[in-house]
Amino acid sequence: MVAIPRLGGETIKTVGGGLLKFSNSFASIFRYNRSFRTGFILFLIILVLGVGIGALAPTDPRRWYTDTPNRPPSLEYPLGTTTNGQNVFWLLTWSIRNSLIIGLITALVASHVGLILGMLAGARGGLMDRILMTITDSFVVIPSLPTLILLAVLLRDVMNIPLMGLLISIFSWPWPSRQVRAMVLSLRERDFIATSIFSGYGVWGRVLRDYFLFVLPWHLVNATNTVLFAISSEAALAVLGVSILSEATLGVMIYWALNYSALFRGLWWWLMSPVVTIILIFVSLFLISRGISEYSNPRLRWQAGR
Amino acid sequence: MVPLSRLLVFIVGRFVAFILTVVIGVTVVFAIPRLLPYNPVEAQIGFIYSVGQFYDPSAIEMLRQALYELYGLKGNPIEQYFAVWRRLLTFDLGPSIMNFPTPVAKLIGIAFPWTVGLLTLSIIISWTIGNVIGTVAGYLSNRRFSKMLTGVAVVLYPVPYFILALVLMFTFAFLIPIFPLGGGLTLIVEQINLDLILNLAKHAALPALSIIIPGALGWWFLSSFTLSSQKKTEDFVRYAELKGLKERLILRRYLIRNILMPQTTALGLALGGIFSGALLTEVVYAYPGLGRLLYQSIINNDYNMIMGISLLSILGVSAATLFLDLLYPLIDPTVRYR
Amino acid sequence: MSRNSEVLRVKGLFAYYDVGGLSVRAVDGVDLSVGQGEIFGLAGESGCGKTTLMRVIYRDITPPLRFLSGEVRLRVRDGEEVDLYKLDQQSLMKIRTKVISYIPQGSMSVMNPTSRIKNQFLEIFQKYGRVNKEEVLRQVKEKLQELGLSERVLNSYPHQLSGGMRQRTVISLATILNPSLVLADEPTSALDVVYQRGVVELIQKIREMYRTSFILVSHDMGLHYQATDRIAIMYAGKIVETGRTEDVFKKPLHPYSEGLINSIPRIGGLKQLEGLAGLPPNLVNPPAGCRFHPRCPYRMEKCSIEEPPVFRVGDRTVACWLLER
Repeated sequence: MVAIPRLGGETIKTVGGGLLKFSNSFASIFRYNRSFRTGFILFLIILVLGVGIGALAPTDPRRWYTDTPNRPPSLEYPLGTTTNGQNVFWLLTWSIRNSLIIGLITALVASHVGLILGMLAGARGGLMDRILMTITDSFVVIPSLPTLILLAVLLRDVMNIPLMGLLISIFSWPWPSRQVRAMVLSLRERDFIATSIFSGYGVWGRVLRDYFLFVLPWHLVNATNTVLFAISSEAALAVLGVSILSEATLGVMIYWALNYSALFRGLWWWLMSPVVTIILIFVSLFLISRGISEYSNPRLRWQAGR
Repeated sequence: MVPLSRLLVFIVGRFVAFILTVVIGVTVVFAIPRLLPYNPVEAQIGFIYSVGQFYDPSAIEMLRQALYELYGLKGNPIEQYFAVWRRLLTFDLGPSIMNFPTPVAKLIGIAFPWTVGLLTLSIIISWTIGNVIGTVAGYLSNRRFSKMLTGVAVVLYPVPYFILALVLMFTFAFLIPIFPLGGGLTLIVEQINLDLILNLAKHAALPALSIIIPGALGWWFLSSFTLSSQKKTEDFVRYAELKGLKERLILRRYLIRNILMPQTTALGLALGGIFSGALLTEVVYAYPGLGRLLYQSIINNDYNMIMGISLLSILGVSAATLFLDLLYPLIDPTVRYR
Repeated sequence: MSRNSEVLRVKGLFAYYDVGGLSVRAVDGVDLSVGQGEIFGLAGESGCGKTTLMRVIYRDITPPLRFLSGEVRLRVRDGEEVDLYKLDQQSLMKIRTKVISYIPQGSMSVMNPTSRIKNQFLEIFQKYGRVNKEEVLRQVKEKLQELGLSERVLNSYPHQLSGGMRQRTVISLATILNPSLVLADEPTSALDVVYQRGVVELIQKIREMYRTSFILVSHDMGLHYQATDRIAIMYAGKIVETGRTEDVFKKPLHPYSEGLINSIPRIGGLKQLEGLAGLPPNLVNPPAGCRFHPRCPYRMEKCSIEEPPVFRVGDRTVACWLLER
């Protein structure tokens, strides 16, 4: 069976040292990698918009008829208003926040579950590996959207923002666990693992020190991509009408705009605000993840010209 | 040539994988609703009540029984499970609720060709164009067009189909109205003539482009670009250059040919995602395929239809993947001849 | 050697690698010449610049390799010579495989894995214009037969052939247009001894039948003894000795050649094998004077100060101060 890790001095030292290294690496990537820099700044702007500025909303933007409906963008209504009298600008800020929360929850849950299971399967091997991989493969193979839709429909009454994140996580963890396992397996062959074994570290010691640090860059990239995937999935579910229709998320905004034939009636601001925002979020996150993978892969770094 | 026994083992193996996938998929689709505290029959009855009408309680009871039967929820779980399989294999998926009593299978049958047509066309075009452009750009990576395309790809790659669909809709159906805002056809089918085809094409154009553009200039471009950049440093390509072979020949026979093969495998893996994306694109454009059918069934609480489409999706995507898997050895000589 | 039967003349060749701001002087002033129908060996330790020299002769210059100066004169037709470095790209491409061919190191993976061998032959012919496929294949089959190779090879894919077969196929591909000169880099290194012999025999046969010249690069002195007519010993980017293989082996004149040749195990030999002391020199900052002097058992004071010129001894050349007397 799996031993429970003892968080002793060694582990804390490793984690602490790791954090320091992390902030150094961050500064370094930011400075040297154009992809990362652009993406990060863009994302930061969006983040500020969603979380910071959104908090300044005068009223709950989800409420209907807080403003005159169907107004185009103007000085008074920066992004116009919806048919239901909602202020698009403030609605957008809250939507950004909620979509990002969903993305964050999914990334935290799915990519870490995948990471841990993958490392376990790879490091332990044997029966545990087989069991985990069989489960993982069945998830990978089922087309995720129909099942997600099914679940979303069935959970309609109890759905909220965090639960949405968890729901999407169900289909996001298998892939990283497969990838991590493959990486760990390739590592097992290498010399420095043998050194660890001979130095007397137990499974968990090995796992934390050697495997984790190696897998970390990939993990960060994957986490970033998961955020992207989650926001996209929520939007997909929303467009189909199975998201939380009373809440404010980017997907739900799009749903209502489509539902009210916004484009057809000329209310383009209602539809395009969330669409453009989603695109910007996606591009920024993608640039960030690309930056990280370029930075950590020496060959790619050379290709990128640094 | 590979010995027949080996070939058979391969085919059988793939079939087994296919069946396993379908079984697991169907079981999951079967199990989930039954594990959750959701009772579609009660929900349906509640829906009827919420519309405001009053019915005689005994009539409601009859309805209830009928619904249980309709939804395949009669009997214990084992019986239900086998009932689902029987339905699937005989393509009798029960009647649709929103279009009662039209069978689900019939409605799916009408929508299915639209989706398959759109998908097949879009996938073939995007995969071919994307891989060719990507390979060339990867080989000639210091030319200007290559850098520009890569920049474009970086923006297009993360964007899901339906988002691009909205952008395209906004630009080419609203701002500059070249294409219609939605639908599949606005003519009555009297005869197959040029008008009909043109009309079809105009309506399919934007949905198809929504799938083709992120594919060709995004996903397939980037992956083949990466492969090409790697391959061009490999021995056999270097040697071809050393022999003084023309650039075009190298691109065609050495790079593109050797990249299309792993990309075929990649296509098999990506089919699920492409399919899902296509469904959503259809919803956005109100294109009369499976996507829109699904959307309607969700709004109208058509449980049978939702089930039917889910089951069909699993079956369809798995079958397509199987097809590609079996096709692969025919293309790749290193696998075919041992 | 008379001018007329010379196929290749290299003069004053300099080519460096630019790495991290430094220049690695891989080819640092090389002269040599190869006659018609001659199998010329290029020997030396790993890292002495042999492969680079081959690349430079073939004009395969890609960054970080940089050509500095020199001449590579190749005889194209009777009496007509060209300097490869004065040609334009198109002419250069035309000459390759027709007049001069190159077989790179690691021949195992140089063929297109998804292309049948016969198509790879066709490609070479099609480089020069439209061809009649049947006619070309007929010619190719004929030639393969002459060389003692099975024509079954033609319909196969590269991965279906054994290592030795692949190597011989690569050699056939390189010589199908009857070039005057073939540069072969370590043609036998990845093969079993049995296959090595097959390759050597093939090369010799081609030379006999078509009067093709070869430059064989190898660190395997045994191969040189068996297969080459003349040999050049390379050290630290320079040629230190040339001469007929027999002569050089019997009586090596340069201390480095002596070391190399003495390191070959001989059947029945009872002498203790002596390797060369020390490590190959730094090509970024080579030793002053004669580059070999730090490892030379015969070194004199002069050796660490001034670089020796090339001395002629009969039809041999040696770059060593010992020859000054």
